[in-house]
Amino acid sequence: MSRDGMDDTPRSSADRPGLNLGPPSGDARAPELPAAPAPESEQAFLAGIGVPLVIQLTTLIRTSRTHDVSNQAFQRILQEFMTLLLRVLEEETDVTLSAVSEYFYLNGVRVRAASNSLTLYHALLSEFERRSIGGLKFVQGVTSAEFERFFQLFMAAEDPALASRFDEAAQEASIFHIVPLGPQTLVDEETVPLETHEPASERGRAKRVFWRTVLGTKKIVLRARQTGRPDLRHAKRLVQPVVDGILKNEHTVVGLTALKDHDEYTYAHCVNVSILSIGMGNMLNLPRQTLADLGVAGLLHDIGKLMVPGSILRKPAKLSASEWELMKRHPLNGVKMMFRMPGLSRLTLDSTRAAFEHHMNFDRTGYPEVEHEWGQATLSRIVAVADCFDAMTAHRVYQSVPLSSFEALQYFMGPNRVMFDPAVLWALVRTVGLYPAGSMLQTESGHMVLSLSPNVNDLRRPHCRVLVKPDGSLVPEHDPVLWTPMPPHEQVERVMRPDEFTFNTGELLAA
Amino acid sequence: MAARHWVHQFARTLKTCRLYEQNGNSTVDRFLSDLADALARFHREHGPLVLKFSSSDVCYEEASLYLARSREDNLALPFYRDGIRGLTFNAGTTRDQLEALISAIIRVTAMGQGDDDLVTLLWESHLANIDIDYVAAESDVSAGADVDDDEPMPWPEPDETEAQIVEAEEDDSEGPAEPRSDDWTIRELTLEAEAGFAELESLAPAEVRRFHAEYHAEHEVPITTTAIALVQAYLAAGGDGTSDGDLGRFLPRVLRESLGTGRWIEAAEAVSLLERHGHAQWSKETFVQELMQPISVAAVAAQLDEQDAESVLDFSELAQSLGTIEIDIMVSALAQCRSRRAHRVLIDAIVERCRNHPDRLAPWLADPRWHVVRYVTHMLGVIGGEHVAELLEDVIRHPEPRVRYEVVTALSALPPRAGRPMLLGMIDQADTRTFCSVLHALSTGPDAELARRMFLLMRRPDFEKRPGAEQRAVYQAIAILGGDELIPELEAELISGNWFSLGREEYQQGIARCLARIGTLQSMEALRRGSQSRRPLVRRACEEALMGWAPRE
Repeated sequence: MSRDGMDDTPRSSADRPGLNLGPPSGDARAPELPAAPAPESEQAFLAGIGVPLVIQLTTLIRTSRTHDVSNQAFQRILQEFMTLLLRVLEEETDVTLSAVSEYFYLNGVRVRAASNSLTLYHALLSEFERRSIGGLKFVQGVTSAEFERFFQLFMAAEDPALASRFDEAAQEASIFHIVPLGPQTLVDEETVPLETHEPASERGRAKRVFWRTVLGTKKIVLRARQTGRPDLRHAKRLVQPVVDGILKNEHTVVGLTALKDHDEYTYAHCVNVSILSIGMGNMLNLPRQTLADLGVAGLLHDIGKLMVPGSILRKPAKLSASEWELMKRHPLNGVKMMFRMPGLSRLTLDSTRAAFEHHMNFDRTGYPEVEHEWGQATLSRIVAVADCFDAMTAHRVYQSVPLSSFEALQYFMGPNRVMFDPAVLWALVRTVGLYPAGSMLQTESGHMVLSLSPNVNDLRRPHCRVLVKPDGSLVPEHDPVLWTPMPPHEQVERVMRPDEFTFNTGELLAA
Repeated sequence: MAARHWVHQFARTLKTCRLYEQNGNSTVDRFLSDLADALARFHREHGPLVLKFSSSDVCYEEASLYLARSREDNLALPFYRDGIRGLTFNAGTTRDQLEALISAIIRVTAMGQGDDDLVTLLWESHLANIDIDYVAAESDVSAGADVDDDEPMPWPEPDETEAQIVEAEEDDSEGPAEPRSDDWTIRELTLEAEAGFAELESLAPAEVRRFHAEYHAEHEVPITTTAIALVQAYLAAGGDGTSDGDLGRFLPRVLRESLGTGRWIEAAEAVSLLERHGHAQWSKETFVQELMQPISVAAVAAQLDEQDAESVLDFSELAQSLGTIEIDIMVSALAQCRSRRAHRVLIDAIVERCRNHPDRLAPWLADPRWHVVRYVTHMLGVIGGEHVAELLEDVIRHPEPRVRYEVVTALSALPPRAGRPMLLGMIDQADTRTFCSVLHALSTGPDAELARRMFLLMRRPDFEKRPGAEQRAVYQAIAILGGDELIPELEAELISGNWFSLGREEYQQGIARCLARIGTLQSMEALRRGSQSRRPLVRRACEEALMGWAPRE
């Protein structure tokens, strides 16, 4: 008996209406597309189990990098994964986990990642992409032993040369209950270039770039901890797509900097500062190469915090004077680490200066204090504003109520603006808009909308998602209404305070 | 197949560019132009050229175009290795873009390649008509991290030993007065954002212009200058300046870069900082040894050749900061410089530094390069002093005439008591140029003793076999050195011989001119007597000389 009392016959994912099955037979990697909504309760079941399934699969991949499949740690996670999988297979004849345009679907039902598991979600998307896999189909009869064999091949297929022979190898290994599928694409997405798997929408591209940059930054930081110096070569590669996007006037990625409530925020802060800095540099009409340098400087500005004790970084209370002194040394620590980078170039110096000066102020206040006359470099001023803006809106353990992006902007516009270069402040507002992403807005017509990303053509009319209609009804989640940008007849009446609504803006921004 | 043909042409062009300097070489130019033309033809006939790279092959529409024959001849590898899986050459791809692509490949495949991979190099080249399909730089999240996946990923904590940070003592006093927002402090929020921005917007044109001016001014400052200033600021802000710190690793790079770009002041500053904050393994002596390597000296000299006098002077200051080795450094550079301006400034600087210790230059007199010996001789001459004469003694017989000539010049600048004996000693074995210059050097004013020596030289039986220039030099010397005491003997020599002494016209004319140049009344009388001689040659020589007679000043 199924959970909802419907008939017990397991159904194939192919039975679902709206699915495009591709070639009918013979092609195990035929594209399979997400479906129209399943019956509500079943949909809820699949959506609910999809999240742990994705997390467990990602965890398996991570674990297998350090442990053999026979290892107990791997086996424990494998059993948890199999339990989930078999639970779904009790209900369905087969289970298809497909990756389509930056989303996972389980038998056609979208798996919505919680904000705290976004990175795992994107990590698995990357793993699929790296192997040119659009999804995995599990059919009745799959066993742990078969999954182990499959998994070994899956990990080996990271090498592109082997990836092309994945199907063949699976057949040879007598794996019949797990089928890798080809790259997926939504029917209504017109121009998905399959060869590059590039998402068609600007938002899709921005999300991909953003999460790749977060993951890459994490890797840089962790590696810097081991080697004692940041990997500049890798950092350069990470910021190039951001610069390209912003130069193409794709500002959605700026909106993603408003995502704060997720488990990788510490690393995302560096990415946010990098993105905001590039955006501001672009508004200031800096050359393309300088934007890339600025991006790297933003990415590495806080690298000195690796030398600040974690107990201070994560202290859920006000810092004592001595702790504050240690915290204030992180720019100096940053310089110390930057000194270890090989070579000497404009980029290394700009990055080092940003690490050194991002807490100095335009009015010569701030820290660290230099005994002789020392002015903040132009690029450091940009990084400083980006850092301050992002840090103020961060959800940190020591902040009971973080500032909203709009409140942070007010801070910059108030008397404290003397601390910042006016040209850079102007660029900040041009970059994030007057109602930065994450701001909940009430329009004159009575709509309640969430600002998603800035509209460079009209700072007062950002790109938004409508959440509540003037009659007070909610816009259904599965049928979102997007204003790209806010229409001319609409106007922001006021910015709502965080205590006035209960929406999870983080999840809405990440969607 | 057109694509195969073009890829092979590309490979040949790449090889050619590896062989020759790309700038201005006609062969390279021709190859690149042909390659661009062939690509344009391809575009006209087939549209964009899309190449795919595997680890050992370049493919077009699944067809293999350039299968690797060996590790060396693997066109696809540099692309594949750096994550490039495909290149699309769109219509409008220019010769310059192809050249940039080839330069980037050469850079990443060269020995000791820089820090950038091919993707970054191509990105920085901004090839508008070439699309690059590459694998993203980030890889799996967990690589290099041993973090429990169940826990949110924290900012990694420092190793206690690495961080060398003393845990903050429990402290009741509080930090900043404002509420904490990460490492920033927040004060009162006030103005409405819109009003604030309206004000900013009105200021923006002027402020952005000012920002740009500052940005450009900053980026015109050489990176070594910025690096040194940054180090000083870091130290002034309480940065770690201990000898085992990272500064000790950074400063040598600044020093090398300063030397490589001819930023001598910054190099001197770097040396000074290294002395205080350098790594234990760094020593001035080792650095000087490196600096004195031929390749380093050549690089320094190349910089000096391009620089103005002030910068060359800065180099001498740098050398001075390196201690007693300064002279060796400067002479080494001088030896390799080609610019006269650099020579002049360096010579002046060396002379100044060696004025009280000319013997510091002595080792260089044994240098196998004649021009180095000549420079050093010249400098010794400028320094002057009796001690210098001793140093020059060995160089008197230097095989290179130009050195000997310089020695004469140097000796002539010394006090007569020191220089003259050596000059006289050179006369007998000197070549014509040296001989003339020695005599010229000796002929500084009337000197009876020297005049007599010259006179005796003139009376030697082989005198008239000497080259004309030498004979003239002797006459000139006698004219300058001689006085009334020599006139009787000159007159006797003038009228010596008889009617049959043919072929001595030049000799007699030379003596007559000597008398005229001595310019005393007695010399005029002697010439008048000669002008009444019955021998026409004597008479004519004296008459001509009398016309040129002028009283000695």
